[in-house]
Amino acid sequence: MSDNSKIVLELKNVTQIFAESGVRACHDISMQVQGSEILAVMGENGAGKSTLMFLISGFMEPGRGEILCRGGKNPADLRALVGMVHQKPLLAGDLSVLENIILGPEKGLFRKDVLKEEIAAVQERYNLPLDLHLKAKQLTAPQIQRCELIRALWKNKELLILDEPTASLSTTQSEELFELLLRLKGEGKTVIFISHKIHEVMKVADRIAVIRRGELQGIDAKGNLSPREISRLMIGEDTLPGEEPAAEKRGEIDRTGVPVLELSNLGYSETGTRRLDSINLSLYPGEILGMGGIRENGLTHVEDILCGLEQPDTGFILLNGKNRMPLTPLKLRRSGISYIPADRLKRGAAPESTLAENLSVLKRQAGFGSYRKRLFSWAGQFISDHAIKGEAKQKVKTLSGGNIQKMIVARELENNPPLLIVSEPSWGLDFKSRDRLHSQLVQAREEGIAILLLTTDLDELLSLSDRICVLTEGRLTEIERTEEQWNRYYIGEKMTGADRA
Amino acid sequence: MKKFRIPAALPVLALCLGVSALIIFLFSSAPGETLYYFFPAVLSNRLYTGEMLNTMVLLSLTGLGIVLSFRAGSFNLGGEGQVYTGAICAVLAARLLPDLPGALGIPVLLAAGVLGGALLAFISGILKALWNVDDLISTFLLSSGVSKVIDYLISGPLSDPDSYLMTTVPLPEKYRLASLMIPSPFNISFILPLLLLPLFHWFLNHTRQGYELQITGSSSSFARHSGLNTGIYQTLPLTVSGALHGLAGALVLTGTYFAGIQGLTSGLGWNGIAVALIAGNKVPGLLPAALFFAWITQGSRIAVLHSDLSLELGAIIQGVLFLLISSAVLRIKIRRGR
Repeated sequence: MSDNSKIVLELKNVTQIFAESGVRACHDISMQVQGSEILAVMGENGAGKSTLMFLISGFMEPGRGEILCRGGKNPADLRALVGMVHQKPLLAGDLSVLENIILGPEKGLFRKDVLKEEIAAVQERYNLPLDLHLKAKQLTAPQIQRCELIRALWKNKELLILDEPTASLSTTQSEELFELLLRLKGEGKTVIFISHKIHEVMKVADRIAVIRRGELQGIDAKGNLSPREISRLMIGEDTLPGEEPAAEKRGEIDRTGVPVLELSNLGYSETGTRRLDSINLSLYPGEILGMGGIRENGLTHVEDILCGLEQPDTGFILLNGKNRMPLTPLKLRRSGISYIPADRLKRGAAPESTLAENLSVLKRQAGFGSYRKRLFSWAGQFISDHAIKGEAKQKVKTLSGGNIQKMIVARELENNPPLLIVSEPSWGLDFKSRDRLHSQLVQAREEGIAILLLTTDLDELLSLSDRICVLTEGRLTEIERTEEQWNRYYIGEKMTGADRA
Repeated sequence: MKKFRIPAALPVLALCLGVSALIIFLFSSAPGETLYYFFPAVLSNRLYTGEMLNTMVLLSLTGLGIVLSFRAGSFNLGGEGQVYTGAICAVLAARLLPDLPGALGIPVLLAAGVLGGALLAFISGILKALWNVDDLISTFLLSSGVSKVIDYLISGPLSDPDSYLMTTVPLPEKYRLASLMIPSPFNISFILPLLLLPLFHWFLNHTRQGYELQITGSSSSFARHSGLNTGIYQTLPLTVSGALHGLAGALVLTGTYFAGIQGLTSGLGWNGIAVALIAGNKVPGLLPAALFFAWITQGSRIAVLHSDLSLELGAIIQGVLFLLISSAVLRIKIRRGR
């Protein structure tokens, strides 16, 4: 470590727990940020990177611990010091770029034309062309980023935070951004940027901090870390107990017939950025196809497209060999397909309704007389059959997360679907429920159900899948079942892009 | 085990009574007398009681419409326009079919009103289902626009040349609902809420469609992804809500005014929302809520007539009550929800 005078910011035992969800986003993080350096913060999705940056920028105050800046812990100092370029656009859509840039509480009276010249000078100096009169809602993702960058530079912030700046940039745009960052560092500014792409981090960062499940796994100069080490820090070493590859216990899968699900040349763009690029895959009865990757690298888009929420720009989705475009959630369900979504409380369950009402969508309550009576007696039976801890009349939001997932899985498997789309099934589950869920999925496969498993969890991917493919930056790569490829390190490096560093 | 719980509306109602009493004490020279006219006088003669009951019938119908759409997750802010449309459709039906016998003619008039109101709300519903157009905005805008057109029809093409009022030609005697409490307009239509309220209560709580409707209302994204036909549940409840408003409009025409007078809705659409809020968006609460609201409306009318309470002050009291009810009931709800 260099001398203390260069320290811009210091975090001491910062912990942040969200009261509503009980999620521990940051746990006991202590680190220092030095002047004129580029610090990369890496980690998987949900590791707590964004929360940490919100804390540093003074957007949130930490639940425990403190953030020292200029020797004090005044959040106003933090806000004056830090300029943040957000991952999700935080601009006022109906205002122009210029108005968005000058938006802020600092100024009283001002002259727009003077400010405009100032901003134009900043743009000139750092070579950031952008029409200041465009409405913010017309901007593409890279332009939004540029707008926020101009704002931070114009306000002369000493510390810039960029939250996944390259997620929506092309390779050349990323190169340009990195050149700019290096230049800013030369001018004495400090840059923190979040990324999960190892190759770009290795290129520009001075120091690298890795966060996993809210904890700081390590922070060190770039020279002391290899891409492989970073990848391991990010995905963790610990294989969960009691897991063994279930897939090897069975014979060949018949892949001669008509596939249950076929994606052909699927492409998808969002605000001008390519999110999915010619995805092709076929899924046959009785197999689990695992699709691994990082959420923002297209996995969410695959889920949204397959459940009928989004329409792809190119390509087709074939169910049982028939073209089912445009796919809608209703069409999907009419074809008998089951779907276990990652977003359980929005898509998978109605939290404000009772357990019975959540199960009623199975439409299993035949007969006459009061529907309420039939529904509640049927649901009571169903709940005890599937060992769900709850009562038919209980609201779903009062159930534990594990029980909600148990209810969803039981409901989705009940109708013996030809195809099951599962996304992040074991998020937030304890080991026992996780094991139970995995054996349910394997059991379903034995019964001939085709399962598409979308997951960021490597252990889950390896232990359940018959075939694995990995989504990296919108492209799909199939993993061969060989000693060399079929292991968490190879897949982890593929996912994080460490193999290209 | 049933636990007794004070309904969310009760403290609010008490507050309302308190506030209106306070206003009367402040501005009236004989507050005791004014208070008498405001509250107990409503039952003092057949006219006042009958008018109050008639308002209650109409309000319980529009309130039912609001509750139904709300349960499905839609907001119907177009009640005024739908009531107005219902009335004008009934006027048109009476003009087009002048020769029907009364026993057939009245149901035809009512059906015309139902259709008119339903059509207006259906437009908003289908816009929501197809293109996710916000129903709150579209019902309100449609209703405001259509109200102006109807104003024009009444003052222009349909106006009664023999009258100095802005009104259409009065209905023939046979198309009028006979009063059961002469001289008040209270009529046979009181049977409608007695039939419709239990019917919708049963539909919401004892049929699959009722349950699916409420699931769509409580989490539309869950309903969508679990394969419910959300398009239907976004369109039909709103349409039926419009139909109930249209029915109320046709009833105002056939039972109360007997002619399409400009502005005959007299706040039935808005007050229906207040009634639904007081009722806690539950069907069983609608009758008492409508009774309360009708009583206050009628009371202020009588007080204006008999005491030194000015017309404006009467309107102010009603306005204050409306504000109190809508904000307080909502607040209590939000607090309980947490």
